[in-house]
Formats: sequence, C-alpha cells, structure tokens
Amino acid sequence: MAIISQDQLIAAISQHRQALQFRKESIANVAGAHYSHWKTAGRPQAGATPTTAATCSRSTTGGIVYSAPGGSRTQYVGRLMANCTIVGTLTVWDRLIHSGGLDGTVTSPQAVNTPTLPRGDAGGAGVSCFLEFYTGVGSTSRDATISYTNATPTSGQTSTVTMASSQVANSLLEFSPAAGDTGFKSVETVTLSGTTGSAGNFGITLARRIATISIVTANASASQNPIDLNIPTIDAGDACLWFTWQASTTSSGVLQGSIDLIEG
Amino acid sequence: MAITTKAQLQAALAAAHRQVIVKATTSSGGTGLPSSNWARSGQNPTQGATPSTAVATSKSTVGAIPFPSAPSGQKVYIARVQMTQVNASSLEIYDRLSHMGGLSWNSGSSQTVNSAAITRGDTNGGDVVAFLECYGSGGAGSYTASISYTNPAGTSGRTGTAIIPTTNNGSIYQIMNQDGDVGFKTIESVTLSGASGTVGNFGVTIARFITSVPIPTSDSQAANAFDLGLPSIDDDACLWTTHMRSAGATGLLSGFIDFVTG
Repeated sequence: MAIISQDQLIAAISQHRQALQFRKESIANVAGAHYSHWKTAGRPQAGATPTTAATCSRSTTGGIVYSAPGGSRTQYVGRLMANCTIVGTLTVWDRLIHSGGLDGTVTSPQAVNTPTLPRGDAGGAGVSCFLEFYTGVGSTSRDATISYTNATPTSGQTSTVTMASSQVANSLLEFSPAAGDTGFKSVETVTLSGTTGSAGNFGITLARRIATISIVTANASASQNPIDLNIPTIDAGDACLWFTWQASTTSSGVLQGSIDLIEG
Repeated sequence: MAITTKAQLQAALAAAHRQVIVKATTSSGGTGLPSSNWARSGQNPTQGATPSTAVATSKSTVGAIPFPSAPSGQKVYIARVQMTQVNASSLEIYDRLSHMGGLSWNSGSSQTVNSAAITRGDTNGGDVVAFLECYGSGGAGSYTASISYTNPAGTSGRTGTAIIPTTNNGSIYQIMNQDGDVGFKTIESVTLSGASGTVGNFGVTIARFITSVPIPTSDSQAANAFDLGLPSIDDDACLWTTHMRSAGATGLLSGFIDFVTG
C-alpha cells in the first residue's frame, strides 16, 4: 500500500503515528563544515565505530529507535521539528552502509568493498557517499580518492575529496558522483595522495537523504509538515535514521526535536 | 471511530473548541535551556502547584490545560495551535503523567523519588521521556545527575543521566536513558554530582510527547493539523507545555489551541 490521496494522508497521521523525540549533545565543529552525529551522546544513543563494511538497519545501535510499520502499510516521515542552541542545518538520512578502520598514513589503496545496498534502488541512484572520521587524522592535507561502482553497473569509477589539515573526528566529506552518474552502488577502495602524518580512524558511509531542515534562529525551532517534506518513504520500514549537521560555528550546539513516522 | 478523511477533518474543525493560553513572562536566566510552563503564572491554564511526594497527574490536576471530552466512541485531537511569545522559542505539548518535587540542589547523596506508576497509554513507559524539573534555583555551578530507574522491560537499577548547566527556576533537564533503553517505567532516585550550596527545589517529571510548535520570531505562529501531526489525546491527559528559552526573560506567551473530536 501507499499514501496516494489526501484522505489516506489524514488517516495515516491520525491513526498510525509515532512521535519520536531526539536530543544530541554538542560536539566540536569547524564552522561551515558537515558533521555526523553518529557518535554523539544523546537520544538515540551513540553508535559504535564500524570496522569492516556492514549494512545498517532499524536495529543498528545509533539509529533512531522506532517500530516497523504494521500490516502491508508503507512508512513515511510525516513531520520533522528541531531546535538547537546554534544556527545550522539538520539532515536526516537512511544510513545504508558504513565502514571504519581506514588509516591516514597508508598511501596504497585501502580495501572497503561495501556489501550490497540493503534498501531502496539497488543500483544506488540517489545514494550519497561520505568519508566519515571517527578519530582525527594528521596535520597534512591530502586527497582521498575512491574507486566505486555506479548504477550501470560500471566499476572503477573515481571521485576525490580533499582532507583538511587535521581533519577532526565526526567530520564528513561528501564525494560527488562522476559526470553522468546518479549515485553509488558500491565502493571498493580508498587511496590517499600521501600520509597525513597520523593514522586516525575513518571509513566510508553510504546513505540516502530523507529530510533537511534549517534552524535559522538559535533556540527557536523549525518545523516541516508532510507536504513540506515531500512525504519521504522509510524504505522497507527498516531505515537506520541518522543525523548530520552543517555547522555555523565551532560547536554543534545541543540539538533537540522530534520526528513523526506515519503509515498508510 | 477516528478522523480518517478530509470531510471528517473539515467537519471536526467547524466544531472546534478553542482553548486560550496565556502565560506571564519568565524570570531571567536559563537561556538555551528548555523550560516548563507548569509553575509559570498566567491566566490559562491556572498555575500548577509545586509537587511534593510523587503522584500521578491527570486532566483534573490543577495546572493542566482544559480540553473537551470526546463523545462516546470518538477521540479528541489537537488540530491547530497559534502562539506568540515576545522572544523566539518553541512550544512542546506533553501529557504530564507523573511528577514529584522537594529534592535539594544542596546534596550529593542519593535522594529518593519513587515515581508514581504510569496510568495511561503504555504503562510500561516505552514511549515516555523524563525530566528533572526545577521549582527553585540552587547555587551556582554546573552539575550532572545520575538517575536510577526501572526500564520498560521491568529491569531496575538502570542509570540515566541529566546535564545541568545551571540550576535555574523553571528549567527542565532531560534524563537520557542508559544505553540500550528507551523510556522509563519508574524512577527510583536521583544523585547529583555535587552540592550547590543552596537547597532550592527540584523534582522528577515523566511525560509523553504529543506535538510541538515553532515560534521562530516574536510574531504569531500558526500550526495546522498537518503541521502538528493531528495528534490524538488520551481522555485523561494532563496537558502540559514547555518552551525553549532564547533569552532569559521570555516575555508573554499567548495564543490558543483548537481541539476537535471525531
């Protein structure tokens, strides 16, 4: 089933709604950069640092805890509200796959070999790819190049990001798909242009964006209803709901809010 | 029954019960902290009393927002909220399930809570949140609190944590679960990381989140049924609001809540 009429939307929000509150404590940021709340204390609790590449799901510790849809109903995000002590932008993702254990001093290709995408378009259309830092690396700025497979599927595609000097823990760098590609089906390797000077710990995260909300006034909330959000689907009722934050200053601020899941 | 169509929603809105809300400005302090409107003076709802021993709260508890009863076989929903506050904020609406007070900010020892049993909804507390609620400021300094609780599975001796940047009258401090838990069945005790030097008064409040409304500027902010999630309300809910402070003294809070039945 799916919500395809106004009546069905009304029935979904009035009868099958989970209102889920969240809170994440403040973490250190670089203003203007993109950060992961995967390891941040709060509600949901912090996730673990991954090792070998693995799929994530509704039951992965670190994602928002919620119930799967009942019967044959499809699950959607019906509402998102957030406030923060700092201005910034919150994005909710379905965290599909993550890996860790990559080393900031290794200059040969480091294997990632992500498993098959667990939900949504199997070819990876609409899937974003991040370098996620679990421990900061060294002080030398370096390029990181991934070798990935696109939706065709064509392997050996490449994309590059630049790691800043002393790239800090929790930071995210997003890869752009190569020209003509619409997303990432899998990532095979990461290769650094040189040593950063310190191993740190980082990995690859594949995720599909669900919703974004901008908090334009500190301590004043922002809210979006299902129409504002385009009624995004929770794929297979099994998404690993994960928060990222685009910071406006050197700390993320305390983030609080609620997300409603509806079914119809 | 339930409201499941546009026609039913339209009919319900045409017969909405409008409940006016007016709360006085708050005292200064607590910027950046969520705050309770329970003991905040105002015309509507009546200012709630500072609790002492742990009790379950209900629709008839003084301080709760009044709302109409649903006809037999129907439900009550919140279908629209319009709210203004001088300083930017957000308004959260909860069903306040139980509360207690009389705890001291001047103690680093375990203080007994023994919260009342949850009486409506999931009585195991799988979908509730809990706060330390400040009824009287303590001394200066920041503290953490360790909270011993029983989780929804019935396991006692679990340890939650609350961060207290300042002990500010009216502020609430959310209690975070021990890893692996969601919700609270009961709360047994609170232990602060240190004594603040001033007794003050605080307690523990357990509540179920209903919905929320942004108040991004000093202008009036309206939220419709879709914005709110058309939340249904338990017949005996103790409706309680909280707000986020963007400035110490918030200014007057005023507006209304439209309740519908169907």
